[in-house]
Amino acid sequence: MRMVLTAALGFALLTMSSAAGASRENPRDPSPVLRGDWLLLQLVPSPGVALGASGPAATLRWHVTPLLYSFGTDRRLNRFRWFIAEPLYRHSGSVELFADPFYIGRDRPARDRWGLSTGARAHFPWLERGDALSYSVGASMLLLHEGFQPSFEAGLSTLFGVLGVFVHVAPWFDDGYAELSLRVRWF
Amino acid sequence: MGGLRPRRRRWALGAALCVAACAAVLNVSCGRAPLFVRFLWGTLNQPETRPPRHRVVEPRVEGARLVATWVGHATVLLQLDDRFVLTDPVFTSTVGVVSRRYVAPGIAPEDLPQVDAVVVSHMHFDHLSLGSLDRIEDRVAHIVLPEGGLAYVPGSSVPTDELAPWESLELDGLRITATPVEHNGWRYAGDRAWRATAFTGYVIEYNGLSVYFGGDTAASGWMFSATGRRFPDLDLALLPIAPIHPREFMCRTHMDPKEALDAFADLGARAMIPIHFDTFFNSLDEVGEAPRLLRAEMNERGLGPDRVIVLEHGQQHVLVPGDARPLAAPERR
Repeated sequence: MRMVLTAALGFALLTMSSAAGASRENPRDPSPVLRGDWLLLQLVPSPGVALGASGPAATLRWHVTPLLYSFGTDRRLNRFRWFIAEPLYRHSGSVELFADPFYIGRDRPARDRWGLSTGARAHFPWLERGDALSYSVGASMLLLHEGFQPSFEAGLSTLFGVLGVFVHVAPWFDDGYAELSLRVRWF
Repeated sequence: MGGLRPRRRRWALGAALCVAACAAVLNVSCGRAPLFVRFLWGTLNQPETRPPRHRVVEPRVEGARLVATWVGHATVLLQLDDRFVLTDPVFTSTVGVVSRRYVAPGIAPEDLPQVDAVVVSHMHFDHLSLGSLDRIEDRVAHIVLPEGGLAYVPGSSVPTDELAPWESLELDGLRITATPVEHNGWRYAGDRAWRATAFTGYVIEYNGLSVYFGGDTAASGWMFSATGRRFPDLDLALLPIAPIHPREFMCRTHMDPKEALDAFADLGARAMIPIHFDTFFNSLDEVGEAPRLLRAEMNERGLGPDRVIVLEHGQQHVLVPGDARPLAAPERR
């Protein structure tokens, strides 16, 4: 997995286009810039509810996108983004690798309340090329204190991807696992 | 507090930290907090969309050389002889999902003629409306964007090009040149650090006719003068006159009516049509305030309705009928 990520990042760096010497054939293509306000906003979690045999529990999820390929973006531009992706890059049609840490408020030792969901997710535009409404499907491996199992997700995003509703299901856990989350995301 | 169990104490501490963080954010923007509340209140209490006073069903004016139809906001349909150019097309009932239209478009998208070029001035939701492009793209031949704007027009089914300031694009005799204006190029605020160039004005030329489209701009005398010097024979200037209030905030990116008339003089155009007012309200302006202030300033400067043509939504105006030029070229400032 690490090798795949490294190779993908290397490829993305190689395919980066320069903002210098822009023309109609090679348009200006500025890359996102890391800013403190973006970092702070990434700390805002998406709240949710996890369901399982042990009853409902509140969840908090954070979103990390190491790499995103936007197939909706114009071919003349660099279609890769890592960590920071403008809403239209994501919601006009994209595939992203993600690693979402999450917290489940269950009555168990603190370290057993944390989990990680890592996998791939595809976004497709629905209204206004994804700016107003888009839908997503994804598959991931879900790491909980109960174990490591595949999970699936589907979601709808609106308001340039700032708000969304997502459902995550991991049917192969002994107790079953499902989660409904209100996604709050800024870039 | 001392009587709380450790777990509850942690939650209380967390809640206190959240409240402190919110208070800090409000404190940082304390000067703007009342404005923000008024703006939010206005957004939550937007009036119902009303129909336009004029509705154009057949936009083509036979025999006319230069015709402008104000669809609303910065959307103007220009007829230059047999060619049509549409500026900043917005036909949706809202922009940015939440900002509701005050007056419906003066032309329905399905009544548009074949449009030779759509020019988009910048990336803000009230100028680049992807929902509107979806509705009209089947009758558009070309889309022109400012430098750095292509990233925000995904999935375009028609040729789409960017233009840097002073760069031109030739489309079968129709010449479109990007001109510098004073605004900003971001769309989501979070992209302001890198989407820094995606805003522009345009000069559209065809068959000896020329039209300036200011898009959305703050007052910038040298830019308008430079454009006027490069294009000394402008028949028409489409200039924004709002939002006006709060002025200390809006003046960085928007002209008020007085500044728009200054720009008109700097450009040296024969006629001006004001745009960007009374359609979407993302400011503290009152309905009708911008055209009222414009008319007052016109009176002071002795500018008649032959020079500054204030259109209502959906109203059409023939600027150059037949082969004649109706107005003498004015003195540039």
